[in-house]
Amino acid sequence: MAGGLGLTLDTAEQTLLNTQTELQVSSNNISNASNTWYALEVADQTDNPDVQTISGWIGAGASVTQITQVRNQYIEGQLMNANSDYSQYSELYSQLQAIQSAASDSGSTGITDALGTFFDSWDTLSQDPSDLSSQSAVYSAAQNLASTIQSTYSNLNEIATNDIPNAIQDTVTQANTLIDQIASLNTEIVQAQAEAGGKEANGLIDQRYQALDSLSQLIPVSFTTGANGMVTVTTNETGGPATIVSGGTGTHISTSSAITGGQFGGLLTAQTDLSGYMTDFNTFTASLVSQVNSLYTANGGSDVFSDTTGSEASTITASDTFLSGQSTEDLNSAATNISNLQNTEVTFSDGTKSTLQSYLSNIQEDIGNDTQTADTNSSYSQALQTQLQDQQQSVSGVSIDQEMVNIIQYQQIYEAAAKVVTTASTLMGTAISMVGSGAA
Amino acid sequence: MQNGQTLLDLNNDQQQIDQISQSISSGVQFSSPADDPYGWAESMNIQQSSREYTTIQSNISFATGWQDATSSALNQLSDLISQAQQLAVSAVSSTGSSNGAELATEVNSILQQALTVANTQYNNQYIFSGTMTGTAAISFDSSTGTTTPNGNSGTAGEINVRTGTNSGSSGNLTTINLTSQDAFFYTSGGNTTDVFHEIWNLGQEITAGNTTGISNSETALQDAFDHINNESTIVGSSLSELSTQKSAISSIQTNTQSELSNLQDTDVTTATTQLTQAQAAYEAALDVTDKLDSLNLASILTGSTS
Repeated sequence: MAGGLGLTLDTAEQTLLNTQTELQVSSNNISNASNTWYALEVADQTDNPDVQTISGWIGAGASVTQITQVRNQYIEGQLMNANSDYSQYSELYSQLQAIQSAASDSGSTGITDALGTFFDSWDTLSQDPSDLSSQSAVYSAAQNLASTIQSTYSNLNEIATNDIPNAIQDTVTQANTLIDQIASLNTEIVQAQAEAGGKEANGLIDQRYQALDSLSQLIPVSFTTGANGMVTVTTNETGGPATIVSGGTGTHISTSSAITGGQFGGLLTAQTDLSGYMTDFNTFTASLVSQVNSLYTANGGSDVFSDTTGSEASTITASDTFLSGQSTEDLNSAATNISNLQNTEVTFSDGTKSTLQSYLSNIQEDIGNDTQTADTNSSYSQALQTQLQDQQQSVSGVSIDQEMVNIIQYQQIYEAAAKVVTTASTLMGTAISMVGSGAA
Repeated sequence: MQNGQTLLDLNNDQQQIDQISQSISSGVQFSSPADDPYGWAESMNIQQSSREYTTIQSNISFATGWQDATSSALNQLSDLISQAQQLAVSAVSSTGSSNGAELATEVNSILQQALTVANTQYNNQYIFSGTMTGTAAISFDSSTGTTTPNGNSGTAGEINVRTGTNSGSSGNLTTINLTSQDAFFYTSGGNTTDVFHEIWNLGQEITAGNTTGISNSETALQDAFDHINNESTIVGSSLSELSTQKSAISSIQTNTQSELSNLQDTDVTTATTQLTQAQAAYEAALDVTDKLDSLNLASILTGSTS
């Protein structure tokens, strides 16, 4: 019917339907208020085409054409970068803390203490070289030094050969699962949109965003949304960006991927740092062994320590017979020479020139610096991440206050429209009864 | 909505409180290298220096004990030689053979005491035997009056201990011992002789009633006396150096200790103030957060505002 009460009724009916839809959207928003991956949904209304009447064109209400998400892809991209950075540094920090613990040496415990006791035992021996208990103390100090070095190295090696590689494997497995998920969501989203006549599959898009967000913690993630609604995802490798999701296909990463960033990147850095520290311990041990042996055997006599080139810290052992057969004057001379080693600057195989103790202290300082830097970077990137999270939430997050106001409005609109319906229907009834009562 | 930022700030405040509390309760400012990498490394170095100084002090103590024993032995020998000299004088003045036998017996007694002194031990080591400290310093043949040193001499006979650190350019070793070759043997009248032989010889001359011989003995014994006193002076000055060194190192140890303390000890007063401030800030932040949380439309509409 063109115009008239019929149009009014239709319009009001449409309003009731629209308001119900809008209330449902609000309700959905509220129930997802604490879901950080949910994007605020808004019901888009479009005016219905005007209707021509005797009085001219009259508006015929509006229809809810679609429910759209409020998302800012730029902020989401920034946030994912921040996720990766924070993950990278916090993982690195966490690994370095474990490494710091494994290599622990406070000066009163650890290798330093064993080294000090070793030097002291030679000083005591110099006083009475033929004294059996002094000799026994030297053997025992040498033994203790060798085993303390081995045990420190072994703790570090455990992290290098088990803990970190396992963590990398876990990261890769998780990342690949997410990559597959994103690829299949791509396909599902396109399908769902086709079925709904081009309308957005909001729930699926939220799930895909969640997968991307989780993935961005593991590896760096950049994404672009194509015209068909599919996202193309790339990650950063040392050679440049590498595509990991394209359309419905995901490309897996492996433990040997050269990824720079995210938890993966943090683990790789930790591995490199650890390898450096382990080499330092080998360098230290190599010098310790060669210096002590050379000073001791200068007076005739056999080696104090033995080790294998290339893996000194894991293979150092102390002989338990080097003192026998030596004359008192040879022992006295060797004792003072070896004890004097503690203040002698020695050239190490990496070019450093310092005392043995300084070299050990420097290793601790290096570990401390690397750990402290990772902590600082981690805090900084966490602050940035938090800022961006808040920003993203202010765009896509649900404000309960806003929804409450909306609901109040919808309620009033619904009541008003219902009033229009009852009024129009009463009027139509009046019109009909006007016609009916006129028949005889 | 500022919730993310607020939570982060609250967490950081809490972390700071934990850190300060830890430094107060443990008494040290850093509990891991990451807390203060340079400080940690310095602290390790200082602790090791400190340990080395303690050991060096123990060496100095050992050297001092050894040289005190040496000094005491030399003093005893000196006294014994004096006694022998007096006997020599007596012998010359009383030419009767009856006294001669008595005097000879006394001389022998002095000789035996001197031989015991020669084999003094310190720390169960014979102090005049060079590095062969398990062997008695001398053997004496009473029929020929020959003294044989059993220990070694020269560089091979030196017992050296570290009485300083070798970080400077000069040596840091002290030779603690005096060999019997140096202590007891000397030149008299162009000949090499030793203290024990001369005492023995006096006894021989007294028994023989040989006045000239006794007179010569007196001279030899005077030379012995002088020699022993020389050696005594040398030991005395070494003891003096050791004492100086001990004080110097003691001083360094005190400085080292306070350096370490400054580096790693928590200043409890400052830390407690910081802790109080941090706690106050944290409580204020919690308070504000709590108030903000209750300011929302839903709770106002449903009448559940506090």
